[in-house]
Amino acid sequence: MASHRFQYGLVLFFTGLFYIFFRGYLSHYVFWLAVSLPLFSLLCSLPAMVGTKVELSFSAPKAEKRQPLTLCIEVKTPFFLPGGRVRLFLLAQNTLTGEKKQEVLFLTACPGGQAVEHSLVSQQCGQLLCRLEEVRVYDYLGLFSFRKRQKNKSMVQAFCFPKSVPLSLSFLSSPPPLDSLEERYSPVKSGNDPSEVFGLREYRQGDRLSRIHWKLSEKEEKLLVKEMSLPLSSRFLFLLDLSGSGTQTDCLLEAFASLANFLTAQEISFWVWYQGTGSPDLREITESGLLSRLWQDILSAGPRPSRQALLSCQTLLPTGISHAILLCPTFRPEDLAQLSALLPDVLLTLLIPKPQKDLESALQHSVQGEILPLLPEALRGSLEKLIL
Amino acid sequence: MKTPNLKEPSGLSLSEPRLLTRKISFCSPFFFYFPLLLLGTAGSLGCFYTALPIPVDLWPLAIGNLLLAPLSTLLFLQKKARSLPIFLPPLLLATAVFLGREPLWQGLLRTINLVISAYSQKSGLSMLLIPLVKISPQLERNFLTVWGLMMSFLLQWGLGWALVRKHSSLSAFLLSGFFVAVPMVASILPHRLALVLLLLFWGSLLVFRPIFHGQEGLYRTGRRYSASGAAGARISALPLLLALGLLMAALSAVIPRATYQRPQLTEDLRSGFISQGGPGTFFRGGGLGGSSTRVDLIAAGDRKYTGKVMLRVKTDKPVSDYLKGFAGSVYTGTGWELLGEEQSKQLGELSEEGQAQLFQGQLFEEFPKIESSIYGYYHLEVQQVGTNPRQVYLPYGLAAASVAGSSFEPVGDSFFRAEDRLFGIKEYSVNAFWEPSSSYSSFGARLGQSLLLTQTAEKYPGGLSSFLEAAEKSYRFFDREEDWFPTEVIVSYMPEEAAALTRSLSTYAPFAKEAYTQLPESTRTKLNLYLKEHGLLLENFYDSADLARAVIAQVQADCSYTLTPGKTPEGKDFALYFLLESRKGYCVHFATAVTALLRAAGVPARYAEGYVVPPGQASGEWSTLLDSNAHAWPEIFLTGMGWTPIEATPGMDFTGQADPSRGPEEESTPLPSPSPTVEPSPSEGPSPQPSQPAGPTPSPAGPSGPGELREGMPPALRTVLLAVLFAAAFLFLCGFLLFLRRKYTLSAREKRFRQKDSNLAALSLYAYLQDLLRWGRRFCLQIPQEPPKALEKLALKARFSQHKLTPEELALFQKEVNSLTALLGQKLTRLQNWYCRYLLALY
Repeated sequence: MASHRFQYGLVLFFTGLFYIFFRGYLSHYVFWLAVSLPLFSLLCSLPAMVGTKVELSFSAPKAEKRQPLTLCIEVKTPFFLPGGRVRLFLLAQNTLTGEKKQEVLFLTACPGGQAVEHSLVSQQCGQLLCRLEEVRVYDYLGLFSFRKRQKNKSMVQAFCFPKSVPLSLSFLSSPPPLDSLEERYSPVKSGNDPSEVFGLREYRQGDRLSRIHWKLSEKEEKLLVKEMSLPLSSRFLFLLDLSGSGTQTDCLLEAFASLANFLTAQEISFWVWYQGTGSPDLREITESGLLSRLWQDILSAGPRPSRQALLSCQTLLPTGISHAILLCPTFRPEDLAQLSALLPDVLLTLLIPKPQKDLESALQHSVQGEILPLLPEALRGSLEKLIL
Repeated sequence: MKTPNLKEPSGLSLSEPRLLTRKISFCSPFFFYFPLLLLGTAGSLGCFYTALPIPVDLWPLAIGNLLLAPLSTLLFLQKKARSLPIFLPPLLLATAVFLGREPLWQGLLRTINLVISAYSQKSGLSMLLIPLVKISPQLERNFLTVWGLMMSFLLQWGLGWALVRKHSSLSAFLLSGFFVAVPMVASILPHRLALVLLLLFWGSLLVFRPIFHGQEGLYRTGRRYSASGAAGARISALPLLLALGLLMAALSAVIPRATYQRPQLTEDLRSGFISQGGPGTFFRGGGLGGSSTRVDLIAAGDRKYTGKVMLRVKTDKPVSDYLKGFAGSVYTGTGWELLGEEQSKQLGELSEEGQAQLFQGQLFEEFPKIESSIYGYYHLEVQQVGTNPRQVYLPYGLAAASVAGSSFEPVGDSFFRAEDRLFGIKEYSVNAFWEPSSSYSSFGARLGQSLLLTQTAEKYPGGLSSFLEAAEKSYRFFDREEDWFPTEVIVSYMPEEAAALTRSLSTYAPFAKEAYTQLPESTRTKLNLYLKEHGLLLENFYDSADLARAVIAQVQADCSYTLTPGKTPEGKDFALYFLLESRKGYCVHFATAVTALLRAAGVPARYAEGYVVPPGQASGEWSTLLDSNAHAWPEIFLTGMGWTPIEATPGMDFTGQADPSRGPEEESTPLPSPSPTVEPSPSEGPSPQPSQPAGPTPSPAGPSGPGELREGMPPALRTVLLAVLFAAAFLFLCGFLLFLRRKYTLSAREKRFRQKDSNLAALSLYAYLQDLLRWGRRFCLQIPQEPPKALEKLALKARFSQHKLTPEELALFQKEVNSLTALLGQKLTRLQNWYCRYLLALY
């Protein structure tokens, strides 16, 4: 540290003056003691400096947005002697919005360790990454220092999930028709499709006699009833455009979270297409477990470069889609044109956070479908206008 | 990564860090601080009592310190200061002072007296002691011991506060340093062991710096947070102290005391600082007469003199003298510089360094004249007052013996400077020659007029006539007579020194002619035109000296003297601008122009700067040279004279003698040779000038010191007055410290209440409220026991909820605090109020 070096310089200067002006062994001794101190300090503090460990940890791996997460930073050394000062350069960022916060901390490496904690709050959803950009250890006198190499423990992540608004069943226009040609069945819920047996259970009063499995019942000496499967039909496709600003993306993801949670709760499967910093990803969500994994991937995806087109003619989209919902921060005619080309005869809905009024009316004429403005402060009200 | 939109509100917030303090056992930090406190006290007080002859009983002191150290450590390790009041010891102290005031007071006074006695003994000066009643040695010892215990107590308390509570190594250093400074200011050395302990303590303060890094908690500077290192204060850190002790032991083995010898460099530095001049001399120099490596002519604008004393001289020479400090060899058009590397190397091969500057003196010495009139030989002493001591100002015609073994260092063949480049030389003396009558510009003329000619001719085969014939024949090898040197055959018959000098001159002369006729080509062309125009060609004159006179006369006729010529415009040649355009200037302009003209004419010439000693100074007295005596002049190389100064500025003649009939051409602006200030020598009495006598002088009797008797005041009254003053000063200091502490505490508290995080601010306010209530209840039962329930709920919300308190909610806390402090102000008595305000810094 510059101030410590300056202070040591002063010590050396005054002991030098003492050496020059004071005739005697004492001044000679004191001067050479002052000269030898830096080396002594370095040698004694080196084991502690080398052994200094810095650990980062979050109190929880996930939280909802605006919910505080506690970040703990601990510095310690296994050596029995204390170490010198340690300078930490902490970087906290939301990878989805690109926002960063930086901080410099000075702690002391000692055997018992020294820890500080922060409260990290994100107003927007995303992946919260905290890492130590630089760890610099100093000797006792603060004259010498070197950077400590970073390992895995120097970076932690947590997910900040969007809040989901509860949606009522009423806005679903009709229950999804069972498609007998569809070969996929719900693994968790039974239905009425006789082509596939979901499972067996004991007879309950009211069960149809035609459902009784007579052979097994005879074997088991009790009445067993066949449960039929519930066929799944993924007719909905959500397209997420993550190129907006933090607030826009947050609003879109909240809307998507609300819709996805609703559909998952109804056991209605759907497709999700999104592209972040990397290549696009297409997923079919049939159960809540898949949705959780999807969220982690979306939040880690990072923002898509806005200058890139959202879709191209090579974009692979699933077939059998009846309703495509595009969640985008701003309207781009080329994206819409591309989507229409890829999915002809599909109902399109655009969900745009706070679009301009004149744009909205202009689009009404050109888009085959509807545009729904999303108001973050009244998201439920905005989504209630959606008809699936 | 996309850059977030700066217009959007910040979505990510990282709160201020909170330091997590781990619960550690009490013993570990106790056994860390306790030995340090003991070490610091033992070292400081040990140095004090072993250096000064103060008779004390060691056992009570030692036991007292052994008890006080853990007490002090315990006291300051308490987390909450109020559970064991820090001010309890001062109260105990005050009680002890009151009950044992007589022994303490006597102990203090006697200690002071013993310190003063020690100073007197060391310095040899008599100093006034505090008059005290004579008591038995045992009683005195007791008093001194009591006072020693008091000092131990104060020191322990101070060190405990500094190290344990404040973690301030600087405070600990200053506290401990005071006790060793008392004897050391008079160079009274303490016992070795005490010094070792103290050095070990100071070393540990440095090495444990990461631990002594400010008070407990986290400190913020902008976006940087610094946590105190108190967590490292553990018993496991003590081996570092042992290692430091080992280092000290190893150092004393590597540089043992028995074989210690003070290095000469250190001694030179010391004497240099003390006698030759302090650091201020590094900033002297520059300006006219003060150049050391180059002269910047473009900066030579209008001149003003301040009358500052630059040199003091004492000389035997009756006429004026030129003391040269710098000579410029290379003319660039905008300045004068030293010889280039190549030419310097060439010069080095030709002759010994500095020899060319001694030619004149050597010629005078080795070629004694036939005529009875002798060369002038004079002694010159110079004291540097306002000049840079690293430069020296020496006359022409230096006697070689003056320079040999002196502290002058030649700079090529141009000038001399002080050998000691660090401190320079403040005072020096030289001997030099001068020619009262006409000089001999050529070597031939000098040889012809010297006794040496006859001596050489007598030895020459064939006698004088053959010698002259041989000499005559050799003339044809030279273009001009003044360039003539005798052949080696003739030289071999000269005495050894004269022969060596002749050889040196004959090899140096061609070099001088080549090196010192250098000019920039464009300058040379124009100057040649000027010379041609005025018929100033060498072939038209008898010799170089003759030409020089003519050139000077022409320049003086064309140009006028003024101290305000203005600066030379950028891009223009200095000499040409002066000669052809402005035609006005002072010594620098005239010297540069004449030097350049002579060079263009083929005469080796240089620009010289320094000081002129006016005529009439040979009174044997010291005279002062002011800044207005700084001067510039050309010097030319004549084979019969060596380097010789010539005067180009109107008002002075060629030989350097003052010519009162030739005054300045125009304005009544003074020439740089004002009448000197003749002063008595330093031995005669105090000098008004800042003179530096040759040897150390005893310190003068200064103004009456603090111990000196004032007439009319009885000693007892004086003692009382001193005591009262001391007590008042002590009280004032305590009051001031309390005031500062209160100010700081209130300001820190206010800062906590106004922090950005409203929840933390509310919690601070709530904690403060609880403190107010607790103290208020102790003094007055009318103060409520608990804070209002509403505030308690808000405090819980601030502590555990994720929501931030609103400003309105925060304001409720502040309102409650304000009303409570107002209530306390009303209900408590004055003394209680004072106690809460100043001792507790509650409000």
